Amino acid sequence: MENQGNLVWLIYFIVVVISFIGFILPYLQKETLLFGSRMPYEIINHPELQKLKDNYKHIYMTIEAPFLILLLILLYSFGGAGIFIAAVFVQIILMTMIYIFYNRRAKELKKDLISREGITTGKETAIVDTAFRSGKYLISVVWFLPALIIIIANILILQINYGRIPERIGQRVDFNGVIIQTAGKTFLHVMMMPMTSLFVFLIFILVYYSIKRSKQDIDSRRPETSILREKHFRMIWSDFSVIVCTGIITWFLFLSLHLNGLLTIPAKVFGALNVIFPLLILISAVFLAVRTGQSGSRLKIKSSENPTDLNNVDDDKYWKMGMIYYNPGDPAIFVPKRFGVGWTINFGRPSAFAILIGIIAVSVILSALKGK
Amino acid sequence: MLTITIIARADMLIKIDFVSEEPIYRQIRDQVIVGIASGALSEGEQLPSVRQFAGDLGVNMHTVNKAYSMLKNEGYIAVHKRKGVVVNKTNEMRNRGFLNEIGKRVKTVIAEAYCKGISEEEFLDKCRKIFSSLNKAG
Repeated sequence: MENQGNLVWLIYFIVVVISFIGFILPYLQKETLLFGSRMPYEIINHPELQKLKDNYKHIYMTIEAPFLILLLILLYSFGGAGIFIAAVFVQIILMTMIYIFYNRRAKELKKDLISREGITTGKETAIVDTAFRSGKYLISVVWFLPALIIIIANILILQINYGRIPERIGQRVDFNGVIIQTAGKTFLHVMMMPMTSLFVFLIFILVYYSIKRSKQDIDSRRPETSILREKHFRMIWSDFSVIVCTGIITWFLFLSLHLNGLLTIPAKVFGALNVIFPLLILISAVFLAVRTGQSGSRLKIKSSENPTDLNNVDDDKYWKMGMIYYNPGDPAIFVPKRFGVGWTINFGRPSAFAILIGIIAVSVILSALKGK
Repeated sequence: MLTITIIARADMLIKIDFVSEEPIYRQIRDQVIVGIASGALSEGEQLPSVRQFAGDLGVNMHTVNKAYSMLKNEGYIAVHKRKGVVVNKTNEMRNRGFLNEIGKRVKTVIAEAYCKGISEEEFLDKCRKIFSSLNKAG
């Protein structure tokens, strides 16, 4: 039951963190975005915009507080993984719906303000830096090598010690590393963890690639500063990706040996690591997101750049519900997010969809391959 | 209203006005040429691939392709298999025959200036200022 208690707290903490992200979301976005709607520079400091943000926080708390209290009660009464999955789902749906509602209000506010106060907005211009990708704005991809080497080492260790692996091997563990599903010793089942590791590795390579190739979203008013922010932002998150990838692959190495009976990690150690490690990643990510803001909007950069009088292109129509980018006419596959911090895909491009489906498909297949 | 501005600095910035009557490929072409002239784009410097450029701008690849084709045919850039799109060397771009072309192109502008009461001296002075700004930056 001690495990159960830990599990409850862990689940609760994760949901609270997700809730917190939703709460601060408006403050992570660029100053020209309000709940995912592009605002012309002439109105970004208008008090009514701030009022909308305050209103959001108020409504958000009003909805979230009862939900979080209810969740706590449910977790203590029933506990368990089922509640966890449901809780995360409900939390994400809640914050998404609240965001979509405010996205619509932001769009209305924009239209209203411009017509009401007769504001002439600066010309909408798209700016591209032709030398953006010539400079250094990413950690070198070479830094992914250690993770790859660990995967190879994983495979080699399993190969070399194949004889010592028991006839029934673990495929799934519970929270404390106790094996709850086994399978017959076949090459496929033994190699499940290395295969999973490789899959995770490839996803991180994809993330790296998406950071590299992602569409520039340069601010028209202070382009040079915007470029600096973008580059710092991409550099920080590519660094983070390498660190997390290597950490996960390392953990998977131990898990692999544990499942295949070549190493036994004591339950207490496993349980602790199983909690600390994901938590560490989660908290670091949130911390970084708050420090950097979307596209580096919260980074402190001293700039003496003279602002132009231009505005960014209003592409609200391609951002469905302020969060999903759908633009078949745009060749870009990866674009900066509006809902959150990071990058997302252009759902109007078939290749982007293919990537999404592909990732889901491989996960499902890998899961199905774990024997009975 | 058509306004294309270029900032000559370490990185070449292409600024596209989507509402302008001037087609986008034209804006790209014109800005690249001014960029080369002002030194924002140096000889041998690489330009983004068609796909990358189009993605960054959010426009169809045909648009960028058209701009690049024009620039290539007019001798400003070259498309290599491995290096991609690069700015030509200055001496590769030299073409005395262009003087005739100037005559054709500038005739309209001069006529407009004439009609609107701009004197020859004012016009030439304006031209000199532009030349000197290119020289200074480049």
